[in-house]
Amino acid sequence: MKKILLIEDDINLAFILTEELKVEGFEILHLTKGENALLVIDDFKPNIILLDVNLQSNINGFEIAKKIRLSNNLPIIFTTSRTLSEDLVIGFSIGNVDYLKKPFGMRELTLRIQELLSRNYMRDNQIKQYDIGEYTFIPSEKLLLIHGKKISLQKNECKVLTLLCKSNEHVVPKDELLMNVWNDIDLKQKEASLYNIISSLRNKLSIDTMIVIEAFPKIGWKLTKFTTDSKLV
Amino acid sequence: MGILLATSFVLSLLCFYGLWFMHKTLTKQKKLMEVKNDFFENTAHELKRPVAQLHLALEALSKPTAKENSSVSERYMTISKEATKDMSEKISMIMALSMAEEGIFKLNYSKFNLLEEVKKLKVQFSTIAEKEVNITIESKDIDYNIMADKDHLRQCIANLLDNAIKYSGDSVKIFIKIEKINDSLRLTVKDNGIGIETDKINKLFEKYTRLNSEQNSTAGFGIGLSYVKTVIEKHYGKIEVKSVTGIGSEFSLNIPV
Repeated sequence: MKKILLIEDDINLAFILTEELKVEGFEILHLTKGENALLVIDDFKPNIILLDVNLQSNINGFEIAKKIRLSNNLPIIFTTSRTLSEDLVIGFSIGNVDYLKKPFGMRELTLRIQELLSRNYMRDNQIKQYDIGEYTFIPSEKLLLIHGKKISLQKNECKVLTLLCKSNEHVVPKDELLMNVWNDIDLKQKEASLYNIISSLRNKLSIDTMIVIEAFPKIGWKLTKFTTDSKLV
Repeated sequence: MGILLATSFVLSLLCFYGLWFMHKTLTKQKKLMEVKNDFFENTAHELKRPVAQLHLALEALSKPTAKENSSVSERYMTISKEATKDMSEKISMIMALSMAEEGIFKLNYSKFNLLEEVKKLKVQFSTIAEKEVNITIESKDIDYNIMADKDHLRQCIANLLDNAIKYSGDSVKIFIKIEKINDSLRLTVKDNGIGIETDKINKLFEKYTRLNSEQNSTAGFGIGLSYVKTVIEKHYGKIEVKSVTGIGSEFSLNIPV
């Protein structure tokens, strides 16, 4: 059962959230103040934190999140009724966070909780290195290594190549690549950029002539003739 | 030639003065816009709290599973009613402030017993969940009848009690005293809360500001206290505050009878 630490000083709101999240199968611990959060995290070991930005205490939700971030990378969902864009900048700079504006519904909340938990699970279980023929691809460093030579990849090139490697010699649909890189499938203007990325990757992978990124018109692309060797760096 | 020079000089001075005046006016207007936007932001934030509660409570009540746990459903209903009442009160306060700004805020005078109204509020505020609230009223043998706007005055005292509870720890002690001073009744609400820093006390009743704006919202101060000041001043009364950080605050309303 996944555990949620709820830091919310609105007692009524906290009651509803606690009851409804229990129905969704979560275990909840509720705090009205954030000052004891660090101690509670050590004992309760939550999987995710729901944190009200506008706590009525001497320190606000962002300050509490920054203190939490010093010792761990737990995912945090900020809940707020404020709309200032500066808040978004502060919140997202803390890292591994999401935002939910009040009023919100339970469906939206549970979807965001699940998405953030899933994202963290994937990150924690990510394959650290791929062997592509004579290349070694290290996604976290955005690097291709071959014969002692380092080839840097752009962020989006890295995302595309990671998807192609993960697909294990299956075709990756164009929409999936667009969604992964630009978080949208309806971007006609981005298709040209995607073709450029594929072209650039083909160029960078050209030293080993056994490696091919095959195009399947109107479908997608497939990376072929590589050996996948999943190992931790 | 001399006259021309003098005229040019005077005209230049006038131009500089005009530019300076424009700059000053624009700066003042810009500041006022920022402060007013801050007020609207706070107002929206204060209304979003009860809206958020109402939204979730009604959503939960509409689920088929709501009938399975009657005590939880009852609590959701109570929360919904409280949230609606909260919104209604806040909207009334905002309208009162707006009307006062326009100069059209009118009081509905009636004769009532101030002590009786305070006792009713004591019952209402003594049963706050999650906090131990102890309200003591000091009463003497005086005439507590007053000619004032009962609803607005009641809201003022409710705001002071609400703030006292909000900005205190888990064990809240509130002391209310009503005394007769000349032709006025002086109502004092004293708490054991976190107190207010001295440099912020002067800003407490500013209409469009809130304390700790960089730190947190300190929800409630922006509208609540400026409303109290507006209502009391409309009664030709006065509001005073004393506070020591870490010890508590004392708000006094002087209202002509």
